Amino acid sequence: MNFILLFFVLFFQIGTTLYDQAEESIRKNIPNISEIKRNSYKIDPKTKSEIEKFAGQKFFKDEVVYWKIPTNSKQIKYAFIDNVYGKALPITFLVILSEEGKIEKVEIIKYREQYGSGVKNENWLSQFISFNSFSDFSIGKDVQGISGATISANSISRGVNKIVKLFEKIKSEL
Amino acid sequence: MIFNRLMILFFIINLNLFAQDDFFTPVSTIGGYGELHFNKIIPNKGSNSESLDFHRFVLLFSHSWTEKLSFKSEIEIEHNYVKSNQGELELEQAYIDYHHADWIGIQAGVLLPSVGLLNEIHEPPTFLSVERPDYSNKIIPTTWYGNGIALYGNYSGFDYKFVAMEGLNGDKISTSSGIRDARQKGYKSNAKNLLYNFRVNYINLTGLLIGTSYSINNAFSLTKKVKVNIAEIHSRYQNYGFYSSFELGKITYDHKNLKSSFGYYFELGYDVFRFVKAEGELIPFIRFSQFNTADKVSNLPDEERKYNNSQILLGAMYKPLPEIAVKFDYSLSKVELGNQKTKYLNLGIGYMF
Repeated sequence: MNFILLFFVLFFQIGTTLYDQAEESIRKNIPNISEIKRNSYKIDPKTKSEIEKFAGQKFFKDEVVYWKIPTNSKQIKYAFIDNVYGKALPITFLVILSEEGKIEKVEIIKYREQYGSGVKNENWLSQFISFNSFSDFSIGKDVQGISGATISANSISRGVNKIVKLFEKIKSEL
Repeated sequence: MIFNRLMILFFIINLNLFAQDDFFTPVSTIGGYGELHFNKIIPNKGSNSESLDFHRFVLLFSHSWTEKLSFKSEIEIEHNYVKSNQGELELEQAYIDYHHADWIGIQAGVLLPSVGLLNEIHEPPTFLSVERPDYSNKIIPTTWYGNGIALYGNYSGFDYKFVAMEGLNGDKISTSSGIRDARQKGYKSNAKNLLYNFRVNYINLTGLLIGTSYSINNAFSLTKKVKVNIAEIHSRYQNYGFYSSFELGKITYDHKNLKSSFGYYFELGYDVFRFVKAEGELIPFIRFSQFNTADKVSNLPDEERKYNNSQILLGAMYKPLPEIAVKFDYSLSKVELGNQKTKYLNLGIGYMF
């Protein structure tokens, strides 16, 4: 019985939130950082609407959750966690940005569907590294598509584009 | 003691099943796709025919109760209008999905066996030609759906699915259409002999999907059951402007006449807008295919040549947005028996959202 209980506890892995997972990823990608604090930013309706039109995708909520991360090199980095819709369910992703708004990392924190899981591929996600708000996020140009994950790939690319554009507009307020 | 432990177990399962966070809210969603086609058939003997056809109009309704428990469905009207023997109204998907974790999920309801590139993913902007490849009609009869259950998941770049679903009707297997007419389409389906399908894809190389599937069924029959085995391999490469697909499949039958069906196609396209930095994509492409529903037949010697088709197709797909495709293609098909040649000219527009 104890063994069965242990199996179920392991099988159903409880306890970690998506924020915990995101912070773990931040620590892995930015070494030697001390305590980091999670914040949220409420996007004003005008900025929200402008970015949504530009990227061709709506924000999941009126606010985004971010971390402001001081580093040893005195550079400040930023990380945003957000959702986009795949075929029917949300995909949760993390974007780490430099102070200048350049992408340093994109990671899928949670994928919830059968189809389109190819977007979790690290090689595909690494295409966004060094992109900024002036980059072309269109699939098929500087960002390659994914066979069997067309909808998810488009969604993630637009979602990352939204974050980069938003950062450009709000960085002085963070 | 045992009661206490069971209570803890129940609590853990419940906690997991209904755990919600800031990134999930229960929601109903609508999606869809569709395609309008103009088809011109130019046979080497006889008169031409031309048609305009809103081939498919599909609505996708989904609802998620929790992060793990959701419902998905797909309703399709084919050829615009449904009347006796004209058009079709089909419930192609309607299943409850329990997505436990990336490596394991389960579905039950009307679902799709995972055979080839197009049976599960066939929105018009995801394939190059106006019509689906003939291989995906004659050899793998897309869209193939039925009542059943599926286990799916992905682990370390391997994406897999196992399906147990209604079997085929052995009395409707034929030299002219292989297993196409033998699908039960979920209509009060005979559940005596289930079909088992297993597929694995490798998806961890950027732009490349490569995989294989195997399906087995003892198709029911009023006389003698027909043992059917379907083996196929498939790959698609989509990177640096290139679009390339390859599929090859063989079906073997323990049937009184028909022994096997076989086919393949290969296509290659390139987004020429990359040269001129234009918006969207323009992808001219070429496809070679060969398929024969009566690849091996006993007692009916002409059938093998009668259904042996080879085809070369040239076309182009223009995508102003990833979700919209305007297509054109021109093909020459040859049937071995009587050396019959037919030209096809197709134009189409398709969308998905």
